[in-house]
Parts: sequence; structure tokens; C-alpha cells
Amino acid sequence: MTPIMQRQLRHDVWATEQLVAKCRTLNEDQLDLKIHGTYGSVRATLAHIVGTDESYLVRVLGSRLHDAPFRPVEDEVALEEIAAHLAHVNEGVERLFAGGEVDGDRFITDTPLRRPEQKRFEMYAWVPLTQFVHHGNDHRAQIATTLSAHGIEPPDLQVWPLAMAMGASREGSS
Amino acid sequence: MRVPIILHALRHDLWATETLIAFCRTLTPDQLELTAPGTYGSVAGTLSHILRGDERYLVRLGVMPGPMPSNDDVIPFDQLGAHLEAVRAAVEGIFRAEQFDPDKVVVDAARRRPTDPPLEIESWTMLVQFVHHGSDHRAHIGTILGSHGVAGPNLDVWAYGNATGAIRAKR
Repeated sequence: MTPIMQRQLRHDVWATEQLVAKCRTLNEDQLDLKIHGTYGSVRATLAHIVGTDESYLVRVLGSRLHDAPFRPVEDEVALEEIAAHLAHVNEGVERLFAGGEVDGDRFITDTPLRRPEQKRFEMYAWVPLTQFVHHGNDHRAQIATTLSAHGIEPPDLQVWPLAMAMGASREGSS
Repeated sequence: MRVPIILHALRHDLWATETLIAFCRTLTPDQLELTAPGTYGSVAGTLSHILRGDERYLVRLGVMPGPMPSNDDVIPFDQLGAHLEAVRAAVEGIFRAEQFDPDKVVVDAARRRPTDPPLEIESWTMLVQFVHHGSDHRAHIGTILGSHGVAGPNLDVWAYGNATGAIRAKR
């Protein structure tokens, strides 16, 4: 049986992929749109989501996804670079659950990405995994709001369209 | 007994909504009606919508009594806390009784158009959507408040983890 958390993380990655696909239809000026009360531009927020996803996965996996961490200049990064790192996130999620259910009560004492001058945080594994999902939903909502406020229809990122595509939700007989 | 990670996510979700309601109690009636382009609606209306969504997912799962609540039936601001407590009790009940089967199919006959056939939905989708929906609309409220110069509360899991002792800072 597929763990629920794996399904939740797959929805999260799918939703970010939908946004990346939408952003491929925008021009450079539209990628730099922003509004008050959000994190920043569409481009910067997408880069922030993906870069942070990687850091959460590295903390739980205990190993890097690739050599250099993805810490771009968020206002300047190319969309295709963000997409390339989203593929790393997808791989990391699948690697995390390759052995089945993850023990959320496992205690994590450090992350390979911590610099020597940085404070060390200890936490249960459920913390970064739950934050992964919250963080993605939160910032994708900001991007959708930014697009809507500028008259651009955002994609539907709820679980329903993914569930319909997977056959996990379907119309029955009347 | 190991706590399922999804239950931690649901508990965080409810803590975040509760924290946001508590913050909104400090706002004026005019501030509760603030909105911003591209968001769902007013602050108060969005809080009601979050909880109506929570209730609908739980009724579909069969862990809250029906009938299916309507999103049009707006919860008065001073009753949001009571609705949240009922939602919390139902969420805790999901994992208390027996093994939750994420693949169990539930049938939702309460379609927006009554002539549409019922939907058959796997149970896991309701819990994942519950968490998505809450974060999505709380983000709307954060944007509304921020765009009007009001600093809202920190609702991320780091704040929840610190509040519950799940994170410890070390030197």
C-alpha cells in the first residue's frame, strides 16, 4: 500500500509541476510579476519552493540530492533551471519512500547542508515532511494570487484534478 | 504507537487555523471584511470557507455526521472556534478506532448539479485535500493582511514544532 505521506508529497510535486508548465506559457515580464503581501515575484517564489523542497528532503534523507545545493539568485534564475531541480525533488521523494513507510518519529539531529557557523536543530522526521507540504501549498497559493490579480488564470492545483487523472476519483453510475 | 505523519499534518493544519482565528479576534469588524485581488474573499468569509471545506471532507469520510454542509451557509465569526473543535474531534477519531484504509472508496452523491452521477473517491484524497485547502486559503488571508499592512501570525510547521517541543535548537 502506498503511504499517505508519499501520496501527499506526490501531489505537492505535481502541483509545482503544473505551475512550472503554466509559467512556460508566460513571458519574462510576467514571470517577474509580484503583488504586496506575498513572498516575491512568480519566478522568485517558484525558485524558493523548489530550493527549499530540496533542503527538506536532504534533512530527512541525510544525504545530498546532488553536489552543490540549489541556492540561486531567485529573481534571476531561469525557469528551466527551476524545472531541472524539481526533477531532483521528485527523485528525492521517490527515494525517500523506496523502502515503504517513513518513520515520522525518527529523531533527526542535523542536516548535511548546515554550514559550520549555523545553529544546529534537532527534530522529528515528521516536522520537515509536514513543512514541505505546508510550504509548497502556501507559496503556490501566493503565485496563483499574483497571476489572478494580473488577469492570468492559474491552474487548478487541488487534489481533485490529480485524483481524477489517476482514477482515484471517478464518476460512478447514477 | 507510531503517529501517522498525515495525522501530524492534520494537527498542524488545525493549529494553524486556530492560531489564525485567535489573531483575527484582535481585528476590527472592518478589518475582518478586508480582501485583496486574486484571493478567495474577505478574511472572515475565507475562514468560514476553510472550516466548511474541512467539514465536507470529514462528512464524506463518514467521521462527521451529515447532512453535507453548504459552503453558502457562512459560519458566523464568533462560532468559528466551536466548528474547529468539532472538526478536531472528528480528525482525531479517524485514526483512533481502526486502521485507516486510504484506498477505501467513499461515495459522494451530493453533487453541485443534482443530475450528475455520484462521485467515487478514494479516502486518501480527502485528507490530502484537507491539508492543501487549509494552507491554500490561509495563504490568501496572509496576503490580504500583508497587502493592508497587517502582519499576520507565523503559521508554518517550524512555529508549530517549536510550540509542541518537536524541534530543539542546539549550539
